[in-house]
Amino acid sequence: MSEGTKEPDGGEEKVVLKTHDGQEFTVDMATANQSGTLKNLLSEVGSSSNNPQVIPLPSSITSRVLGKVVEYCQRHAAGGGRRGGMQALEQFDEELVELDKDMLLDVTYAAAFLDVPRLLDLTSQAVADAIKNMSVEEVRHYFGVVSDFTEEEEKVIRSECPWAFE
Amino acid sequence: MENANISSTVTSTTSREEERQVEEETTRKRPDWTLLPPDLIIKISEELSIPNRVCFRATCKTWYNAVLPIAVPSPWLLIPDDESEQSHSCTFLSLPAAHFFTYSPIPELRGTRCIGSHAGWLAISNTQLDVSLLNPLTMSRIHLPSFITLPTDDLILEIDVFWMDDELIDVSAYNPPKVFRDRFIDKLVFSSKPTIHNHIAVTLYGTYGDLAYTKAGKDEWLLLGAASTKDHYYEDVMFHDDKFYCLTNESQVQAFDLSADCPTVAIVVQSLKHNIRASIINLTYKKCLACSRTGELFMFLRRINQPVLPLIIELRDPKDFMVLRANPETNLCWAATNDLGSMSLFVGANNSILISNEDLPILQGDCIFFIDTYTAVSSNDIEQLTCKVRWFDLKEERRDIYYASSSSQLDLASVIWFTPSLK
Repeated sequence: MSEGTKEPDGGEEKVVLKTHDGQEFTVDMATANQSGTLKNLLSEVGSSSNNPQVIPLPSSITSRVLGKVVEYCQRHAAGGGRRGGMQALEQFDEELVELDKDMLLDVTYAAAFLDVPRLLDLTSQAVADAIKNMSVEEVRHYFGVVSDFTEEEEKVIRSECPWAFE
Repeated sequence: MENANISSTVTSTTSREEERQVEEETTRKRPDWTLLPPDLIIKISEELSIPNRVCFRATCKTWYNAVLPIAVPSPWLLIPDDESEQSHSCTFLSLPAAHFFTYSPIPELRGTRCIGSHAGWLAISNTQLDVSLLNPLTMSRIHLPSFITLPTDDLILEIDVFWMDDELIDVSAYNPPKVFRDRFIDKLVFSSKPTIHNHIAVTLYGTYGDLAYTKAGKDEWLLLGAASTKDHYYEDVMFHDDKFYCLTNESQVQAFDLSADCPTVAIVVQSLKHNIRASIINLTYKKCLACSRTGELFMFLRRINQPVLPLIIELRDPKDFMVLRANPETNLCWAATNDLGSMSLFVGANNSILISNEDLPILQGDCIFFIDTYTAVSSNDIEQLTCKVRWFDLKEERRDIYYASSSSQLDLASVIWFTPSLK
């Protein structure tokens, strides 16, 4: 932790993140600062432990999703200095994004909205890994996406890369 | 809902219970992936290698429009990494689009070289002579018997003699199996859509040109056809329509059916030896076999400067390239042609490919693409391995170089034609 930061139980600055479904997550500044969006916001309004700033979040970020993001930010605010070092941190990252695809999508949205670039890298990579080596039909099936190309368009796309449709 | 409060001091494990409760309380509809904002679509697409990105982009309109066009029509030229066999990445050049892209990591490629390619699959072998088939797009892999089981006399001895001749060879780096693979394995062809339980492979190998085959369930390579001599040997082999077509040095084509327990063979095109000219053709040209979708056979001949012929019987005004065709269903004889039927031919260590010119907008006419690999001493006295992809326009008799590379890695594998497939 950076110099000058007090113990969590001391009078450290806190911020409350409030999800649309009414749940509140109280986090310290180091955790909040992992998010570019929160950092910007808090630099303008400030927050304290006695009277923490409450930040409402959009409905797409449910408490379950926010829980994941907060978990990531807390761990990364502590950095690799903890026991286990960078290796443990990498393992933490890997395990964090072992999510079902719908949850993965929501966390991706949240990471983008809250501007947590490295978490966004992780989730994007996880999505990419999940669909690696899938044909177009398999990718469609995986995401539950129905092709909205016209017959003509589909024909053109198929002729561009026939192998991708096998 | 106070119990769902997570303070900064609570670790993730203690919140699992609470999360579950929250999950139960929260009912929401399935997220719609097509509503991903363009920047996130691009972000995900950039995490994908080019072939996967092509599939991702073709999923729906939103994604198609968000991701930049990726023009990678096949065939692709597989270019071995400059680090030689230590690398697990490889570079592809999409020939019609003239677009290079790297595809990695493919850990299976590390320590191996490519000795064949057919319908999305590569045949690879390491320096211990382990052999396998690999689809680099799906990462499926099928192990074949080791080349150590190839029927050959005094395999290692043969190489010993070879090496002792060369004073420049660093004896400590002497690796007979590697030398055997690099010098004596010509190519490996195999059946389409191979699976662990259903595949057949044939390799062209040895000092002159022997054939050996293996198939699912066998643990060794077995001699196919007659053992070679310096006067009778095989020059090329290709797979088409469940049969292996094998071309002899006398331009005879034998079709082997290896699906049953015992191989059966039929002669589908007769030798060229009816006159002296035909015999000289056999000696003066390097031959490759190809087959169109309809089963018509083509033989591509490339003149080699081989001073083995007495001067008096040299061809008058010889052509550098020739194509002969034969239709096994109607005619058992080769006939010269300058027409590939609006198709172009790609030959090399791969199963030869004929592609309609409609799918190759770069081409004007019927062309043959072939690969020349040789070592030469450069101007600054360093020996270099040069690899050139040349083409020859059959009708116009024009020729040019399409791709060329040089490397100081003298044992680098040659480039190879590859057509992607997800099967």
